[in-house]
Amino acid sequence: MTKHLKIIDYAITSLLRRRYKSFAILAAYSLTVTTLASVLFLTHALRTETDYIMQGVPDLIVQRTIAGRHELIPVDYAEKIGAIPGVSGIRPRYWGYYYDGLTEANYTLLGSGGEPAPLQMLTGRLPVNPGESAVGAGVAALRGSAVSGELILVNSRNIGVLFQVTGLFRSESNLLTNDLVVLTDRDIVDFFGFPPGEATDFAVSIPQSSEIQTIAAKIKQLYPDTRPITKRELTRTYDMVFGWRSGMMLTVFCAAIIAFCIMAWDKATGLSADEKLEIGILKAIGWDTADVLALKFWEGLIISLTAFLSGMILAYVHVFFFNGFVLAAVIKGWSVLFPTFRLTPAFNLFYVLIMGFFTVVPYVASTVIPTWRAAITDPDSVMRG
Amino acid sequence: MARSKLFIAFIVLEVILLFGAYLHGNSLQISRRTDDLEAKRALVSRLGLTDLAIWTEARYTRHPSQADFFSAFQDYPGSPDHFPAGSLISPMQVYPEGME
Amino acid sequence: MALIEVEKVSKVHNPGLADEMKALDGVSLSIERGDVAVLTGPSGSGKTSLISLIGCMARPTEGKIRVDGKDVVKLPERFLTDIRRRRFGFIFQQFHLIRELTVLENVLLPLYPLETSFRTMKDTALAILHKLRIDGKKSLKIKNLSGGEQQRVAIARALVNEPQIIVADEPTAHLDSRLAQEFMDILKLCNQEGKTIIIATHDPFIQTNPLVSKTIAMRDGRLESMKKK
Repeated sequence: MTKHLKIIDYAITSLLRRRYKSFAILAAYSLTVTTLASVLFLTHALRTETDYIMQGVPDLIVQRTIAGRHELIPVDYAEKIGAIPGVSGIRPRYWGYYYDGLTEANYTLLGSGGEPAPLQMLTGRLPVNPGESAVGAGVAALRGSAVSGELILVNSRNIGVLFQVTGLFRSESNLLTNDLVVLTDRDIVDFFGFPPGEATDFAVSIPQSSEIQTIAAKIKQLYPDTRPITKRELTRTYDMVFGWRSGMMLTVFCAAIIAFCIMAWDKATGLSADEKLEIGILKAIGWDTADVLALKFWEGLIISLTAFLSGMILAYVHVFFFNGFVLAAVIKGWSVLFPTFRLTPAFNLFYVLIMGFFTVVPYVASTVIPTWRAAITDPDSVMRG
Repeated sequence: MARSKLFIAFIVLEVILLFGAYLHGNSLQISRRTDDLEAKRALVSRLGLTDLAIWTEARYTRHPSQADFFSAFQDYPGSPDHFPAGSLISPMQVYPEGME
Repeated sequence: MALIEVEKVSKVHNPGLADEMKALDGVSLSIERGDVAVLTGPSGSGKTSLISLIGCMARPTEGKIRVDGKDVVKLPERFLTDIRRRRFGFIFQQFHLIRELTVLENVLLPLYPLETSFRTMKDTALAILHKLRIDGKKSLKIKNLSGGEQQRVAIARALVNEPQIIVADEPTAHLDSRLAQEFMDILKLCNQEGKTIIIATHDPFIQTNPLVSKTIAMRDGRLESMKKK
């Protein structure tokens, strides 16, 4: 124990001897871990959060496609679909996209449908009367709606329409509502100039989740031009988007793995004459092969463990206290309206252990293994110069 | 000896901080689940939302789950495209029934 | 019984390779406790090979070496290290100090792998530095020291583990005669404490020094003569 404490002591001394190199490696290494861990934390938190809140999505969405494109669906389809046994309710959804030339942003316009139930995530209320609207925080900020209480949009006949803002979505719900403009269903139809009797799609309620597949198949049979999307497909989309195979993860991981390889290669080939001589001296004055290897082990562990722990902590703070601002800039793409990632922290111990394993072990190995050959040779090489 | 003890103290401190982060995350998972997350879920089901408003540059990035993946020339996440977000979203995988 | 007995020892470097070289050929000698033995001979005569064998830094190709009656040739590496660290102190031709470390850190080096506490270790090292009158420079880095000071640090490092035997390879090669004299004075002190000293050198100053009790002459890897004073 004392012996290892002393060897750690010497390992630190020895690292401090090359302090610029050591700190550069430590910094680069911590940064790599921070990047990787930020992606892990962010995607994991996003998945955990969407897994939970997406439980509220409609059981089944029915779209209509014509000539390979998503088209409006006739409202009278609802009659036959609603009559299928197992379907407890069906309602048309009215929604579409709006390009705001003024701010060069895309909004999602959505019909409120149904009754204005009180929502905790909404300050004010959902639109009930024509000319009323509820807007997301992003839109409100872009258009100053929070202050003016108004929103002017240009409709399909190129006429500016003034909407009274009766509700503002709280910024906590940003991830869902950032670009939303909620109008009454009638206003949506009017605004976009939907042909009468048509909706964007249907939301179908099916209480018995085991029946969703069967009912989807029945709808497809009944109306071959429709495309039913089940709840499972909806929720699974986000597992895919933030899964490890997604581009985000692959891009970052590839970069990190290449960085590690370069570092390991540098270590493996970089046992300089000086280092060899030092190992020889240590052996000659009474260090065992095991002691020399222990020294190198500690040198590797000091760097990699410090980098790993610092990187993880930094990443956690970055993602959950600073809303992942660096990473967000990368995944933002070309969105004008990009939500802040105010996520509920999710900490997966398994990921952390995996990260620890893949960052600490290869580095320590690449420090110890090249030393091996130098350490097992007889120390008389020092004498022979 | 001072140096090794300092190092060990530093590592212990970092482990404690990381464990603190673990507790922080887990406790918020529990406490927010009851209010924030519940409220968000209510919002989703009331408005019938289907997707996250993260990428607003294209239809298939705004509503990946609504993008149709079967028709020719459709701009779904698997198609070669020019939006950066498209490289982050993996294509939705669709299995024939009973083959999962 | 002699402290060190070398019996018909041969050493071949790089056996089987193109640069195979027979460094030692059937050397036998013995060194008694308290001896100050000098190995002389032209370069390439096998002096360095012989002392690295005696110092348990390498193994002979053939023959036997006994240190304090114990045959060290067949011992596993761990035990050889142990003998090295408990019985021998080495002083190398180029001193082989670690230039970026301080004087104290260099002297502490042989003590790191031992189970002694850091405090004891430091006390021992400081005592030796004091004895060699360089404790004033203990926090300086080796690269900032003069040749003579480096020499003394090298000696301090060799003495810090309280060895019975001091092995030195061309210790005065880079020193002027004043420093060489100083070196011999330190060795004299050590010898008076009962330490055995083995020096490989072709410096006539050491060879003729009154301290020397045994002169071993080497030529072409063979023992030429062994004279006792």
